[in-house]
Amino acid sequence: MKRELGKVPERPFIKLDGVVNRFIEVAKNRMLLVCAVFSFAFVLAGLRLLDVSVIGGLGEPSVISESARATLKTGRADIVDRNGILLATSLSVPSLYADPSEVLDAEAAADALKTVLFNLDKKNILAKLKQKKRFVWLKRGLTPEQQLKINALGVPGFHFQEEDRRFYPQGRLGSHIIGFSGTDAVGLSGVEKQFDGILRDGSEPLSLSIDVRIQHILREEIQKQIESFEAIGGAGVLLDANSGEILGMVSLPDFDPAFIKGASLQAKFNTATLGVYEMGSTFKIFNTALALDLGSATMTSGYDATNPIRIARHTINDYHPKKRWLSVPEIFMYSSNIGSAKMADEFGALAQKEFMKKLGFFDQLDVELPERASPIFPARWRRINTMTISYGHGIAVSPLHLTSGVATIVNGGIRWPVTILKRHAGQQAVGKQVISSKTSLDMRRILRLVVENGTGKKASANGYLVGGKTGTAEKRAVQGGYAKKLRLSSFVGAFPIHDPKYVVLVMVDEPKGNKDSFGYATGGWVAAPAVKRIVSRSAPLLGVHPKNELSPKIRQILELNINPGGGKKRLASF
Amino acid sequence: MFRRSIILLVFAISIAAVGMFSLKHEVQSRKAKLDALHQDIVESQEAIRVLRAEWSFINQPAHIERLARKHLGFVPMQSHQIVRLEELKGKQLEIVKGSINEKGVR
Repeated sequence: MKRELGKVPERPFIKLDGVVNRFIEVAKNRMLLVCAVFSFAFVLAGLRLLDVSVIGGLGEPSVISESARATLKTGRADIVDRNGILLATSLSVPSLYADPSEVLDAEAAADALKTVLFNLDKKNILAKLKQKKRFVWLKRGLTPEQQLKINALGVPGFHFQEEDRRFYPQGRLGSHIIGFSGTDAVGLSGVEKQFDGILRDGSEPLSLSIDVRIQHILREEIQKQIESFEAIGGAGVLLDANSGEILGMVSLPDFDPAFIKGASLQAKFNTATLGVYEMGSTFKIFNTALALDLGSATMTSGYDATNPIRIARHTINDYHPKKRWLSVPEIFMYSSNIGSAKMADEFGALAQKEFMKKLGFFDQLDVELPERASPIFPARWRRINTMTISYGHGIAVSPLHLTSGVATIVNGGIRWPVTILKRHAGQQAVGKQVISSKTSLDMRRILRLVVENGTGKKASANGYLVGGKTGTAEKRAVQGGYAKKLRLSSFVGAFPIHDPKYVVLVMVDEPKGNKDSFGYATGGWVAAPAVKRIVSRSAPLLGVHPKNELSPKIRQILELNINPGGGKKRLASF
Repeated sequence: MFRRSIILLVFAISIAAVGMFSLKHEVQSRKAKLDALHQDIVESQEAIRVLRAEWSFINQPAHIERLARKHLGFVPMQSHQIVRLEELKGKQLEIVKGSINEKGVR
């Protein structure tokens, strides 16, 4: 078969008209459709653009506000006082750790480190650096300068890590209340422990009710008394009588939370809340208030205090025997044990027990601190107990219990829960009426009498109308019985007594009489002068205006007939 | 007509492209600035915390008291130094006459 090369086979000829025209027509239509779809989409997009930029744009902010997403997160919230003064804060500090596997020459590394941190133990460091771990702490809490120097050493394997550390800028002030926290930011005492959870989670500072200025005044004045009377310790409280807020509370000796390891057990002990003591004569406030409230005694009735009481192998005596009939205000003013015991004997054990319960003297305090004392009171409440408790022996409560009780007596008879947290405006606690407001007024009159004419004269801060009661309790000796020489001298009072705003307690443990006090170490000589100074210094800060103590208005409120039996003596106590 | 619109389109596209790129750069640089600012804020907050702690430390009442006694000769206020405004009512005339020092209002 022979085929001719170079000859292209003829293409089949397609005729244009008719069929071809139809194809073009279809293609055109399809193009149009696609164009229509696309233009529709573009128009839609354009409209949307218009909507977003011109119409909708009006509703959108022209400036994008960036929220402060990068706020500093610290491990623990601050603690501040009632005026916002910083009491505890967390700052991040560098800590030095090593990765022993990276350390080439442990010996050289330890030597180099010692050139910066002189007081480190070389053996200890070497042991740490030779461990088969990837992480050992070498020193926690470096100063920036130390960090710089160690960094400059250039030892391989040494690393830094920022750690939160707790600082207490007020040092010893309020250290028992604030407490302290450990290296890993765990609260170990005080508010730090009580509110550990809240402090960990929160970023808002925790506001306490205390005022560092008041705290300072209390501490300084009580410290002064401890030094001049060679006492072993002391405590002081300043309480808002009408809200239960603690404005100041000190316990001496105290400690510096920055050097907690060096603090003795005694220094760490919060005497004001954790110590329980037989308070002595200050308890006559409660005894007298109960008798007046029950009506078993009145401001004009009295008891015979001529002879000591002998009961169950005990003798109840007076320190300053008057050897005559004494009216109720006189019993209080001269601090007669005999009169008080007889007063208590009349209303009896049951009423006394119930009253002590109402004042909270059988229970732990409701204050928000982990260090709370349980009072000690007799299990079997016999007649002798009733009599001794009338003048503050046989029942032991904490100084804060006593202060809270006195606030109840003077503020019109309402017991407010004691708190260490600041009460914000409109935040009112629930109080309980314990005695009538009439009894409260009578009590204020006789409390003023003590400062005006009795054992508490040295507490009289001019213009601030202090009223209160001294107490000198003998401490129980270790071998049983009471130690005559070991005393607990106190003064508890309120100011201004015609309308009490604040209650102050000063207690000095084992004071020894000195030349200036003519050998006396009683509440009137030791604690009362401190109260005077505390009141004079803190009243202006607390907004208490000085008053003319002789003004007729005040005289009328506080007027008192102290010796109705004697008839002649009519003393206005103002 | 068709050519002109093509040119216009190309021109618009290139403008848009340039605009978008510069916008992107602007956003990026602003973002970097913002991050730096946030870093600054955190550092400042940390510094403020340190300063607040220091402020509280040097404002310890005992310290202030020592300084006030030493440099200012201040002593605690006494109650007789406090006078209420009402108590001054009758004494206005004396003050106007400028005789506070002699007649004094305490």
